[in-house]
Amino acid sequence: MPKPDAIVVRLEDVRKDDIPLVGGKCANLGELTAKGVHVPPGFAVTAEAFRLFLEETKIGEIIHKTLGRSNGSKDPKQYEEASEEIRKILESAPMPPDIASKVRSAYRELCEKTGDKNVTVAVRSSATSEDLPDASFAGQQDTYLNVSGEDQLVHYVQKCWGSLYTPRAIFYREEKGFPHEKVLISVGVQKMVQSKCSGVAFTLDPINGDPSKIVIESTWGLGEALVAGIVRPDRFIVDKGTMQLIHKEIVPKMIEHLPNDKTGLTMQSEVPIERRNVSSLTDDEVIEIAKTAVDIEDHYHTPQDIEFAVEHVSTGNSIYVVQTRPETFWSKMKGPAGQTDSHIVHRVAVVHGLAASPGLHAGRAKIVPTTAEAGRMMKNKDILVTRMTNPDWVPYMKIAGAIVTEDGGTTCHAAIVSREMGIPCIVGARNATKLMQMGQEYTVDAKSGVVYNGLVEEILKATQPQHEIPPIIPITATKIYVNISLPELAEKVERETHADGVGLLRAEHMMLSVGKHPRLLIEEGGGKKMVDAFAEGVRKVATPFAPRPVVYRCLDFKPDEFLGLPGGEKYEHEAGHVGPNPLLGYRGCFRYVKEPDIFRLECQAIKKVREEYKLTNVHVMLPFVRTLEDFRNAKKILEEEGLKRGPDFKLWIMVEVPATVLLIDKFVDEGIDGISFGTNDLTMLILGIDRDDASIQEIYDERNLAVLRAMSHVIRICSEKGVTTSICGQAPSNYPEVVEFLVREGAVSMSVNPDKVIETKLLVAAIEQKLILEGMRKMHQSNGDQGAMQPRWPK
Amino acid sequence: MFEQIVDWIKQNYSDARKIIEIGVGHRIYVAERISEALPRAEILVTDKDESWVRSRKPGRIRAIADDVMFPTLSLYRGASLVYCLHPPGEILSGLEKLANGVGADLLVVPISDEQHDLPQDKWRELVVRGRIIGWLFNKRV
Repeated sequence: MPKPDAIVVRLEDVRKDDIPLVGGKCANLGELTAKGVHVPPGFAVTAEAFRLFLEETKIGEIIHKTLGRSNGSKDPKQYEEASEEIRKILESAPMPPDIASKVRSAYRELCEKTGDKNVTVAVRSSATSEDLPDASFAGQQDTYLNVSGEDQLVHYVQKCWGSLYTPRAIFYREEKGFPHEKVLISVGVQKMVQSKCSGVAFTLDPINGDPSKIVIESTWGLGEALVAGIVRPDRFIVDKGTMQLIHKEIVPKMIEHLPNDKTGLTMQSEVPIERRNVSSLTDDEVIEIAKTAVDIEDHYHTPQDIEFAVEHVSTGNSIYVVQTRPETFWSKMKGPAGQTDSHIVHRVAVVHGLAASPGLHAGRAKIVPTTAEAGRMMKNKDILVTRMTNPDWVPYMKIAGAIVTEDGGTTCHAAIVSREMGIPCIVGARNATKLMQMGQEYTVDAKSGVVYNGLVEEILKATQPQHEIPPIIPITATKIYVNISLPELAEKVERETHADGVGLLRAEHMMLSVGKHPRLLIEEGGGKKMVDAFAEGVRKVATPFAPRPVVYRCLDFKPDEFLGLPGGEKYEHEAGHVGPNPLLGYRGCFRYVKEPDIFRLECQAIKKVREEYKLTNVHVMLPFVRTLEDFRNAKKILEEEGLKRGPDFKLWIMVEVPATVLLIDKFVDEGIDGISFGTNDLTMLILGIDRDDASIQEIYDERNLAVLRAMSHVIRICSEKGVTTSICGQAPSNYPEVVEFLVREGAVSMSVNPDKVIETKLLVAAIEQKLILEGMRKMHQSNGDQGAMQPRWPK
Repeated sequence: MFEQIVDWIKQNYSDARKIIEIGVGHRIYVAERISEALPRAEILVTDKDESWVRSRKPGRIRAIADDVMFPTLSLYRGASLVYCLHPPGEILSGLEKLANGVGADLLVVPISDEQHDLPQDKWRELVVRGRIIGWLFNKRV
């Protein structure tokens, strides 16, 4: 154990409790060295050395005075000024000879140990408040690489001391409430690893917190490019239970970071072509790193984030651990035991995992490695315990009272499906199939991610099923369709609403999922990607609703909405498509005619769904139709792409522009099967209101008589000519009187948001009954039977 | 695009410790700009699509796979603001529930076609220089 007044200490002599003397980083490295982990040899210049330096040079007072000026300030500029001033003073003051001589002597000892006269070292700061549990702030202090010789070393040690006062570090300490005067800095000096490649190993999956995986990311050269996010690394996933490499993703690595001998920093360099597509780690190296990572995690009893470097030596490659820190992000998620419900904290926990679908359940465990065994063993409300589920497991998941899987994170199959079904689920419960016993009773607390031994009465009470009476959904003459934006949720929407079809399937979110401007896609030869993505999106909607109709509305992004996509600037802004009011600009049907190659991709997607997937319930709707000519041309393109109107393919247009209202008879003659009101734009254009201008929103009202008259006119003409009429704007969702108006006018259908379908159905049913009653009254009145509908009181 | 949103967040959340973009998709640059404008705040982005999150380059902004309809609430605790750009209408209820659950402000910028999906009793327009640039949930502006 080092003395508290030591100036330098060898890494192998420090332990994790020495943080006040050598800082978190060096303490961890010392602990690892003692445990036998391969860590580059070195020593720590202690925090005491820094304290002495401040005392002897009297600059401590100046620092605290300077910091006092920025204290409590929220202005980043003041932090920056204070930081600059302090660092200048710190770095230029001569190091007192008693400290310098000990640093030099430790360096000479390291040279002897490594057999290198002027061993190259990495000089890293190791702050006494950095890398503490719950305070991970990677890279807050400086690191200098390729430092060689005693003089250079002394210089860079002082530079590291200065890094305690970066603006970010000052701010961070204030935020976390660490007093500046209590925070000292130590400096780690380690033999420089000549990294062939380097990377980071996480002992849980950083994307979803899955504790059953080890994720390793690596790249050529030093790890700086990886930490800074400049390169995309190779990625490996190792199963913690079996130590098998289960996923390997090798990506092209164009640049690497190498040490710069002159500056002590790093330089960016191009990776030679022959190495770019080669895996930066061999499979054996991946497993070796994974094993080391698990050892380190077991040692600290908490998930770790470990930096490693691989050096090429004559005997092969040598793997070094250069840093380890507790993983703070997901570790925080579990919460302390005290947060768990009081009635179960004293129970014996059997396994821990991620709470993927919250809830509580007590029952018998069925350890079932395969679906065949699940078929034999699973009974209603049993706890399903297995490695991981897939779609074949769904029938057994449905009858389970709770689900526990060894693998997986918050977005794995078991997690998603159990949440959809409302079944408590814990995933990533390492060794659950071994630690839990077949047929034994357990309590699954999927709020905290813990399985306890035995039954807990309170939980059994709390999980009594709630008996809810499902609403009776009436059948209405007016069809109630649903608007869908997100194809992934279509199945759920269908299940929950029983809508009569989809009156508006938006294409915009499919475009966002593709993630590129369609023109850029075409230029890159990726048109097929768009066709496939759109076809898949439409399929996801058309399948659960078949044979009910699904009306796909072609893409109607406003030009400014394309700007968020890569290529948007070039193909919208620079192409001059973004005008002062995009809502009135380059959009809708006009666009299809101007850029038919993009429109054709949409047509091909619909054709694919109808012909390849045999989903002939999909129809097409053209939005924002302004002129007959545009419509005619767009229709021609549709026909050329094989989408010709017929008994099972319908073409609709949206009625949003007053011109379409006034010329509706001409559009019908031109050949349409249906119309749907887009009341948002129709109201905007009839009333002359800019929808984004806050100052005139008070007169925006879809119930304005002018808007109602426009709809009435269109419904009348369409009804006469046998064209179906619908609405997909927000008016029916917001105003019941609009629903009544549309039913009375004879609209064939209405399409509303998913949360409004049942409500609208109930409302429409009531209105239709009212109409029947009114009709009967009128009939009796015209027959002269005045009293027929009057109540008859007993005499 | 979204420059005004970044400016507005910068001006109104200068003391924020945590800001989260939900459903980031392929458009990470807005979060990056917010991170540059507010270097003291932790900026997180989430997306339901795990493979997409996994394929991103690691960087200053942490990306997490999470489904807003079934959120891991602890991820969002302590956030001053959660925001979502171009949210599909189907996830609005999830966003509202999440914001209520963690006590964060919620800002959305819907596509123009879905602007009117936001119930007026719960949502307020975010107006900058007379233009509606987004919508705020339950926030007293």
